[in-house]
Amino acid sequence: MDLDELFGEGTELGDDVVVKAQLRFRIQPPQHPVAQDIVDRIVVAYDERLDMICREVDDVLQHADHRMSDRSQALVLDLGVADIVKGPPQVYAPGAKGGKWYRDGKGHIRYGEKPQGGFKQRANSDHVAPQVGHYRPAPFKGMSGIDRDLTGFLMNDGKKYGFTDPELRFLGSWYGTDAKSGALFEAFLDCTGLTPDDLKTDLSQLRFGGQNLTYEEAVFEFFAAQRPLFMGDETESEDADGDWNEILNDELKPLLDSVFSKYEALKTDEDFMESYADDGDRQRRRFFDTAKRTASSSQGLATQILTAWNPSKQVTDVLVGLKTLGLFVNPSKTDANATVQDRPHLKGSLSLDDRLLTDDLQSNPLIASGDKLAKLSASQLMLLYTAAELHRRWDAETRSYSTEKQEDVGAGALGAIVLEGLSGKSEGWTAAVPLVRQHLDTLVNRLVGVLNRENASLDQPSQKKPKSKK
Amino acid sequence: MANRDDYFMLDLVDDGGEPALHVTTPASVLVISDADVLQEKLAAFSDPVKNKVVSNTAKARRWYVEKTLPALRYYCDRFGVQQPDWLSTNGHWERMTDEDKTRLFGPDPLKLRDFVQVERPDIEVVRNEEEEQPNG
Repeated sequence: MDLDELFGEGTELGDDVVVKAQLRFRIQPPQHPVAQDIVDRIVVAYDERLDMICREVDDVLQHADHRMSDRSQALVLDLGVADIVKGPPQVYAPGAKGGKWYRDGKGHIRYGEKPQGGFKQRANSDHVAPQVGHYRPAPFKGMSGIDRDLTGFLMNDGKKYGFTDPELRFLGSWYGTDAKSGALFEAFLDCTGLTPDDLKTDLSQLRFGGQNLTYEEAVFEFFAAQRPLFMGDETESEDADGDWNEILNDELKPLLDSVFSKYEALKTDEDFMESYADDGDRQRRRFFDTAKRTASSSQGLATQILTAWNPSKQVTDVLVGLKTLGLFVNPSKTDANATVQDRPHLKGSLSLDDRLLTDDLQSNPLIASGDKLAKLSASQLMLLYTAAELHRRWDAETRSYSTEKQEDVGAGALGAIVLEGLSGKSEGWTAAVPLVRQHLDTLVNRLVGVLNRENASLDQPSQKKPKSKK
Repeated sequence: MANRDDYFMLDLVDDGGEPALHVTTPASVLVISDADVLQEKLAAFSDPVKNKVVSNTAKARRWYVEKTLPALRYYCDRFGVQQPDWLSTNGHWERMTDEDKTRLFGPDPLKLRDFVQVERPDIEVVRNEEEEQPNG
C-alpha cells in the first residue's frame, strides 16, 4: 500500500522521521438523542485520545537516536485507514444531549444511576442497606434538640434499654453528654452547615452536597471521609482501599445503623418516655428522703460553719455532711460514668451531682420543688449552698474546681435560692444571711483547695485500651 | 473552622461483646491544662515503667504507644512545646522486630498514628437561595 498516496506527505519530524496519522470515520448520525449523545462522546473522546497518542509518539521519536538504526527508509507511523466523513467538533458536556450522570466522590463523571448513600455494597456482603430516616435526630415528646440531654440520661440508665457500653460511649461522643461536648456531631454540623434551627425541622426535606444526599447518606459520607482517623497515614494502595471499603461496608455501616436505629426507636418507647419524665421526680424524692433520714446527723453543722473554731474539722465535717446528703456522685457511679463516657481521667474523682445541682431553672428538680426546699434545716441548706457553688466550679476537663474567690464569683441560681430559703426561716435568719454568706464563701474557698488536692493526688493516666479489631 | 475539640482517633473495637465504634480524644487519654503540667507529664512518660505511669503489661504498653504518645504530641503542638526526641517519631517502634513487637505488645499489629482533625467532606446542606431572599 502506498501511504503517501493514501495520506499525503505527513509531518516531517527530522532525522528522516515522518508521522502520518489520520482517522477516518463514516458515521450515520443516529436518530435517537441518547444514541447520538453516546456517539458524540465517543467521537470527542477518540479525538482527544488520538491527539494524546500522537503527541506521545512524537515525543518518543524526537528523543530516539535514529542514526543507530540501519533502516534505509524513513520511519512511517500509520495509525489507521478509513474513509473520512467527520462531523463538526463537539463541545463535551456530560448529559448535554440526555442520559443520566453524576459525579462520584472524587469528582469524576459517572454515567447511569447514582449509587445510594455512598454505600458500597460488595457482591459477597449479606448486609442489607436499611431504610432511610433512622439516623435523624427526631423530636422527643415534641421537643427537638434535646439529644445531648437524652444521651446524658442514657449514660446512667442506657443499659436498661439494651445499649451496650460501647454504644453509649459512641452516642456520648456523637451528641455529647452533660460531662463532655458532642465534638463529633458538632464537626458534622460544621461540615453540613446545619443550624440548631434546622435540627428542629423535618430533616427528610433537606439534601446535602453536590450529590443531593439525604441526612443518613450525609452522616455515612461524613464517616466514610474519616479514613485517616481510623487508619492513620497508611498508603492509599489498592489493598488499603479494599480494607477501607470492607470496614465501611461490613463494620461501620451496620454499627451506625444499629446504634442510631436503636436510639431513635427509643424516643417512641413509652416506658422510656415515662422513665425520662420521672427522673427528676425520682431524684427530688430521693434527695428529700435522704435529707429527712439524715437530718439528725447534720445537726450542729450550721453552728460549726458560723463559728469555725477549727477550720480543719469544719472542712472534714462538711465533706461528710455533703456525702451523707448524697450530693457527691457515688464513687462507683463516678467510675462507671468515666468508663461509659470514655473519660478515664475522671475515675476516682470527687465531683458533685450534676442533676441535682445544675443552675438550669427548668431542669433542676430541687428548684422545681418550691417551698419544700426552704423546709430543710439550716445546716442542710448550708450544705446545699456549698455543694451548688462547688458544682459551678467543677471542670471535668481538668478534674478540678476553679480557684477564684467565692466572694468574687458570687452565687449561682441554686445558691441564691437556697440563701433565700435560709433568709425566710425567721427574721433572725434574714438579718444573719449576709454574715452567713461570708462564712459559707470562706468555706467554699477552703473546700476548693482540699478537693483539688484530693483529685490531683488521684490523677493517674489511664492504661485502659480496648482490643482493636483491625 | 479549626477547633481544638476536633482531634480524634476512631477505632472499630470488638472487646468480646458487640463490635462498636470507639471515639478517642486527646482529653480522654490525658488531661493536660497547660505547658507546666505537660512538662511534668513528659518527664513522667519519658521512662514510663520506671516512673510507674505505665504498668509493665502488653496492654498498658500498647496503650502507651498507640494513645499516650500521640496525646503528648498533640499537647506539645497545642502548647507550643518542642517535642523531645523520644516523642517526635515512631521510629523506635517501627524499627522493632516482629518478634519483639509480639512479645511487648501482643499479637495484634501496632497502630501508629496521631490524633488528627476531622476530615470535612463537601456535604453542605443545599439551600434554596430563592426562598431565603427577602421579598421585593
